[in-house]
Amino acid sequence: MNPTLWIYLKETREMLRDKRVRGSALLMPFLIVFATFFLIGMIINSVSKPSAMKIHAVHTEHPIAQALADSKIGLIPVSNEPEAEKLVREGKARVVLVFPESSAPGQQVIVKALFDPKEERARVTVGQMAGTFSKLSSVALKQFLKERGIPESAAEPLKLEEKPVQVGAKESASGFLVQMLPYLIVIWAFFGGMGLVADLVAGEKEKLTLETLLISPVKRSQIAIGKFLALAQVGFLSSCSALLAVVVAGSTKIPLLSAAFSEGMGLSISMVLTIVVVLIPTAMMFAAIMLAVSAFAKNSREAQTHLTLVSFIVLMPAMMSQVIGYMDFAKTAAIYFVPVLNVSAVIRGALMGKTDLLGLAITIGTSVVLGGIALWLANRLFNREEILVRI
Amino acid sequence: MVETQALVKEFKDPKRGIVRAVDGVNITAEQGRIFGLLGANGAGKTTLLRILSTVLRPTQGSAKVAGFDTVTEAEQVRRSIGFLSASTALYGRLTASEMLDYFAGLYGLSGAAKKARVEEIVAALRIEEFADRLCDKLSTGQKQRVSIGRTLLHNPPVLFFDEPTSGLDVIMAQEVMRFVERMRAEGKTIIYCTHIMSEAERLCDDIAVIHQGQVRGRGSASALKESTGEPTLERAFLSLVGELEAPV
Repeated sequence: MNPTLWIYLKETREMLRDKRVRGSALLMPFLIVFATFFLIGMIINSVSKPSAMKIHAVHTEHPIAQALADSKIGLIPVSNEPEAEKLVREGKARVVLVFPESSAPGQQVIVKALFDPKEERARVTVGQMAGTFSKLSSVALKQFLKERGIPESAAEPLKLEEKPVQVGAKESASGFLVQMLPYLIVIWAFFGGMGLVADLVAGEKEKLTLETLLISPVKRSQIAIGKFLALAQVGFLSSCSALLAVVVAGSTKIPLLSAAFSEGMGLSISMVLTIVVVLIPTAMMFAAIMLAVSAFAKNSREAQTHLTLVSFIVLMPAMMSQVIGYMDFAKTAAIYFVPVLNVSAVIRGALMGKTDLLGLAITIGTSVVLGGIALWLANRLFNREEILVRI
Repeated sequence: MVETQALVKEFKDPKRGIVRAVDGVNITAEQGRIFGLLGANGAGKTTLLRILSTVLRPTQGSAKVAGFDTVTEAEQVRRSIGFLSASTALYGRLTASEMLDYFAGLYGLSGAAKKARVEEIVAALRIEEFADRLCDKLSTGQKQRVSIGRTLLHNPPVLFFDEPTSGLDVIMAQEVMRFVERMRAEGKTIIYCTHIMSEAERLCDDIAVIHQGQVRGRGSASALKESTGEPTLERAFLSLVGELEAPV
């Protein structure tokens, strides 16, 4: 058998027997991503349920307060405004609505909302209240105009009508996935292999198993490529594990999870295929970089230190991918020349049903070139005697 | 046969500058004989073995192993040698038989020939009882047996031993030495590095005393004693390295 393949198979067998690899590279991405979606589902569920909302209020006998009660918002009476402020200050009430004692018909009703602006959930509740008040206001205005024989449209003399235009394929993943998935895919392609690459070369130097391998009649390049393939495979499988978690989370009918996918998952086979196509060279690029770093390091501790620094270089563009949609740069072809960010951009485009084939080609090309350079460097390091005896 | 000519190896050390670990070494090891490299820790024995096994390149001079140059014909050299050291580790997540199978594959054996050779080694070194156990779970002696098996898989004509009994108990050390003697009887060329005088005296037909990278004396154990006028090999060694009269 070809020595490269022989080394790759041996490394794969060892990795699969390593509890750390099974845990950190294969199981962990699934669990973390699944838990993330569960948590997000919980948050969405808790902030998007006005029906279950209960709010403290002063002067609950006011007609508007009664109208709120009809909107399934439960009111908890509070005696007066100073008492309301005290409740907010003590954290016993998130928001307290202070209705006027009375108001004449046709007069503007001013309702005060007392809340702590530093509390996120209080700000969300105030926002929800503003929406509810706006609706009530509109209903009241339309009723007022109707009673006077004026058409309802006069309540809204200027109206913006949204008309979505279909760009690219009709199918599109949920907005939530478009934002999260590119980031998750990219980081696991790197972090999946990071935990074990130190053992793969630097660890072998420490244990002195590398010396027996170097004394065998196998070319150094074959050793480097065998290890590189095994590492790339782990990075790829880690990302696939994260992707599988998304699919499972999106398909499961658990109420909290479905809250995270309220628009549906919208993930199609063609999207998954595009992700896989761009993921393979990405995992290879990361594997080659990590292998070169590990080959350079004296021992696994030094390798881990160097890899931590490299991880920041990967994390930064990966994190940028979450906000790239707000930047004009995302619309230019130049984005496809920026490593890591380009992978996120391609995955993002695919999820939105707008795969840019030129962008995909440039991204694959960039990953292949960078990965090739890193692999060449790793191979050079393997061919230097410092691989074994770096002083 | 193993032969070196004016072999030099220098390392760049950021603190000490250029360090000459091997300094003009000339040795010749004959087939069917054990050539001992006797020296203290850091004398340059391991560096010399690493040059002979092609892991390091000489700074100057040349070396031939089994007729092949260690620089220009490195791959042929590696096919001709077996290397055993006490510190050489095994792959902990492979079983003993998988470890042997892996290296047999690296040495180009395949199919039925590979299987037969691994079984032969497993039987010869009494590895059967722990052949299916992970190397991480083996005792030091069992690990050393697997390492010996790995060394012999491709039946190399030249064997290098770098302090192979270091860290082993007396019984296992005796077993390793008997194995080395058996290899000599089979006609292999053997280079045996040690700092243990009794081992050198028992095993080595020829000895080179190496100190600070240089060969300070050479010959059989009795010839070294005779040339230094010392009654024991240990005193002869100390005399050759200039430590006999050194104050404590």
